[in-house]
Amino acid sequence: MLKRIAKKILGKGSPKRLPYTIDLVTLTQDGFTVTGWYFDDSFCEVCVKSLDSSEAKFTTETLERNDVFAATGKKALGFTLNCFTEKDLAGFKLEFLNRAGQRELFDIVSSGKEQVLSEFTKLDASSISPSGAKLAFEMTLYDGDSLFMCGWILDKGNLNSISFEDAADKYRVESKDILRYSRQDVAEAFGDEIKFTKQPGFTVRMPLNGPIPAKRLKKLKLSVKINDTETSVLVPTVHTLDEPPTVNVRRVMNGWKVHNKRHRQLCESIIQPVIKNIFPADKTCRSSKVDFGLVASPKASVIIPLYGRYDFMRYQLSNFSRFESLKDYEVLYVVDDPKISIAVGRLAKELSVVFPQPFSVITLAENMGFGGANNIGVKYAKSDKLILLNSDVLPKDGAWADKMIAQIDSNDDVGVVGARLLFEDNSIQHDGMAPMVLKEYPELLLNDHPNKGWPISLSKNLAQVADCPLLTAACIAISKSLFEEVGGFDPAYVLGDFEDSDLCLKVLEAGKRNVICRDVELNHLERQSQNLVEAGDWKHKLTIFNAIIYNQRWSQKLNQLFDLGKGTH
Amino acid sequence: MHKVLFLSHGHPELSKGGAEVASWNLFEALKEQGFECMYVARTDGKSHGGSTFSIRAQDQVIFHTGMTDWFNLSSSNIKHLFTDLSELVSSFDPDIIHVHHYAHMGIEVLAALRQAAPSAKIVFTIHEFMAICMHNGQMVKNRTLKLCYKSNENDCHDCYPQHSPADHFLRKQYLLDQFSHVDSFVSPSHFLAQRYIDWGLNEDKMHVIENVLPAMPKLPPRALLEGEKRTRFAFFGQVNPYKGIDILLEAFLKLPAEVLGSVSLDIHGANLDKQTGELKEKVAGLLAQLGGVVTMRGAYESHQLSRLLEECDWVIIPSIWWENSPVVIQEAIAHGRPLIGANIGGMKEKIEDIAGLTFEARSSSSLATKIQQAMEPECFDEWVGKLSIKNDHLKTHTEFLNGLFVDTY
Repeated sequence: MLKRIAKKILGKGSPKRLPYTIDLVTLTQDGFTVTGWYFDDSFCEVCVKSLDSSEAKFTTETLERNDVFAATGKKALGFTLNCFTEKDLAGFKLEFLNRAGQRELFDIVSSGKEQVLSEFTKLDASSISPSGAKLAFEMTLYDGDSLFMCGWILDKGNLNSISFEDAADKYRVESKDILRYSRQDVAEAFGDEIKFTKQPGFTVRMPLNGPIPAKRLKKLKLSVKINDTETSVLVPTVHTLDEPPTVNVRRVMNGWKVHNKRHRQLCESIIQPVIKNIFPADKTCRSSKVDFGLVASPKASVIIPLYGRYDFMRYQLSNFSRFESLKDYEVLYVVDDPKISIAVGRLAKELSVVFPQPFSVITLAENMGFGGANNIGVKYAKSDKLILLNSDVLPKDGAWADKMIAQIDSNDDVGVVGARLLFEDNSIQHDGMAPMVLKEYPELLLNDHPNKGWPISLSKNLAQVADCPLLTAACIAISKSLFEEVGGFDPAYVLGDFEDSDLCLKVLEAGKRNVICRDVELNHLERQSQNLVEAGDWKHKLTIFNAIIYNQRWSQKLNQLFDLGKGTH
Repeated sequence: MHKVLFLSHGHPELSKGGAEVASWNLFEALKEQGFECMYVARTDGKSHGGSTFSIRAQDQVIFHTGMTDWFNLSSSNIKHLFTDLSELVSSFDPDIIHVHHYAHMGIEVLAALRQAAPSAKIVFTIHEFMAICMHNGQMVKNRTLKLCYKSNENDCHDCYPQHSPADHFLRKQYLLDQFSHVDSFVSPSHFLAQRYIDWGLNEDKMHVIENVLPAMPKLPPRALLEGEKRTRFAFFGQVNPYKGIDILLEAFLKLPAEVLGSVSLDIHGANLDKQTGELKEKVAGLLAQLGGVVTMRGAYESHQLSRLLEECDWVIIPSIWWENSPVVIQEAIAHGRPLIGANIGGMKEKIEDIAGLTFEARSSSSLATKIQQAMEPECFDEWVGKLSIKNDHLKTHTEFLNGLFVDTY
């Protein structure tokens, strides 16, 4: 077990172990953040160095990395460097001060990110198969049920099929089932030669009847048929589900072009099955709970997932304590981010001394996503009533929770109770959601927040309790039995999108009505907690991926509910 | 008599900021009135044997701690605040806790004090805009140094772009949460009080009471020779970019040549050498042009103040930030010396119609005009006549403290 952890931390097969590791490099709104660790006996200090001799502006946080110690037996210090810059990451290096007093410079590249990027950015025009066909399988993922492959091919539009043969079966995917797309990098590498191949990029999913043994994956051979001529190609590396889901999901999304209608149409058959295997619906993970004070018989259990930024705990517990809004409530923080669990534990200890509000911290061994984290939190809830709250929501008074719970208590037919959410400038952030259509995705109903950014005075909605079918899960109340009856948040939605409106619709189907308390106002500092997610379009693609699932399930119901008439679906 | 515990972010014998001096003066004055007082002052220095406390006298405790988060003005030194300080405070068992700052200790000190002495009255004296404004509590814009009228998440983000507007919002809410432990706020000026009320503090808890000063001799006006004018001007205070010393020197350069030949300016202030290149060079250049008109007198100790004021006719306070209630204004008034001050914030409140002339803030030509006006003996005499206002700030303060218990009994 220990060996496996060590392997995971230190990276497999690295020929020479460096005295440091960069776990994560993330682009933020105002620069970037580098998280990692170094051995205490090698280095004594780390900082960010700008290559153009200007001074890099950054802050440093350090912490003990007990996980590294457990795996290596050597003391290691973890660090998080927040660098504030408008310049590109490439203009910076990491500078360590070693124990000999010398400064050493290293590239700021995390191992995970490097893998993902290099597969798609480095292109060598000489990568030609022995047979002469100009093509490359750049990324192959084996998900247990199928092979998912992306690459490029100069086929002049004459690709017939891609096939694979193992001991028992022969599999073939015809051209019509293969996604194609243009590739700027391929065009640049080949110049004139590409003239007759408009869309060299390809993405293909090949369903299999049985498993492929690990040995065979190492020497996987595929056949590509162009103009009825078969060419055999050896696939360089086959990735498997052993790698982190967040890395694999990016690999898959890379070969899926959401602005292409055909790609969206084939999502169900090509993309959805792979994503389902990367994020299995029945995925569970180890979790543990630490209590900082207890509430004997709580009015409700408040579940707050933490991802990325965990300092929100400080502001929330301070607020709850000041207004005594959750004095008789159970507050459950769910740490959905193994990277921050040590720091959260330390901060929680500190805050439990400063603030009288009792709370508990549930730590998940893996990142489960927003829905998954809430579902686990609900299992721990002692009360039969729930409030699901985002960590970046800050109440304005002491009555908000009582008011929301009162709606459940006094109305048997009420399912989900929402609240009016305001940005930090007190303009409207959420006043109930409604479906909307963007012209880029005409067939999809997306979630809109009407009147977003408006002054409340312009809202036609009066400040009172009203029926409202779709509510954001940033702050909702619901009974635990109803939440469980409808199956909680659906794990089919990957990494947090649409699961809240999906829940609302499931509750409506169960015969309840949803209401919004417009007399309950809370500040929602939207997108704050997701700042640490890497920039890049894979996140946007995931939203569209989730939207497609949402529409498969609910577009009919939404059309009825909102009387959308023609023009959609 | 009530027991009063003072908490200051520095001991005036170690660091001479306005807040330290003001809290110290009050501590001394209340002791004389018969209050049992304990003065707890924070320091950076390490103590003997790593203990959290050391002492300078039986009633003066030095608190060895530090702040860990200057954005939230917060501290992770939980043991220092919630165990060590807490035990000390509950052992002294104060009726009143007179807090003069949280800087260098952490805003959580208020929660710690509340936990340590649940029934004590916590009084907090505000000295600048630190909770409102990240820019050294000056309410002057970062980089441009323009005057700032109101904090706002988006404007604060412009000054400090490394923190998002939402983060500025969170910072403010957090500080307001912590201030909820305070029973009464004291502000030495209406101006500062209003800024904090606008920001979010409860108006009902706010009391405007001027800083208490030790007794000071009222000095007779400087004796003039036949036909001599009121030509001796002085500046007291630290030299830093917010104090407007460059504007003061430029104003003197704008005086007509014949006037310039007859005036003098004494600068009693430290830290010019500690300033950054730009201000230092600018001031050095202006000083060179002014030649013998200006004398840099350096830092002074409080016991020297009377003698130094005796030498001058007028005290000038040209700050480019708002100021709160500069101690030098009260000291000049007590000694019988009128002032010329910038017409903004605390300076306007404490000088206009009370203690002298005001000029258009940041305008050296406006200041030059006022300097010439002030030189006329009639002008000086008029303002010295108005200065004889009775100083009863201590009485106001003790009444306020006793009043804290009226509701309780």
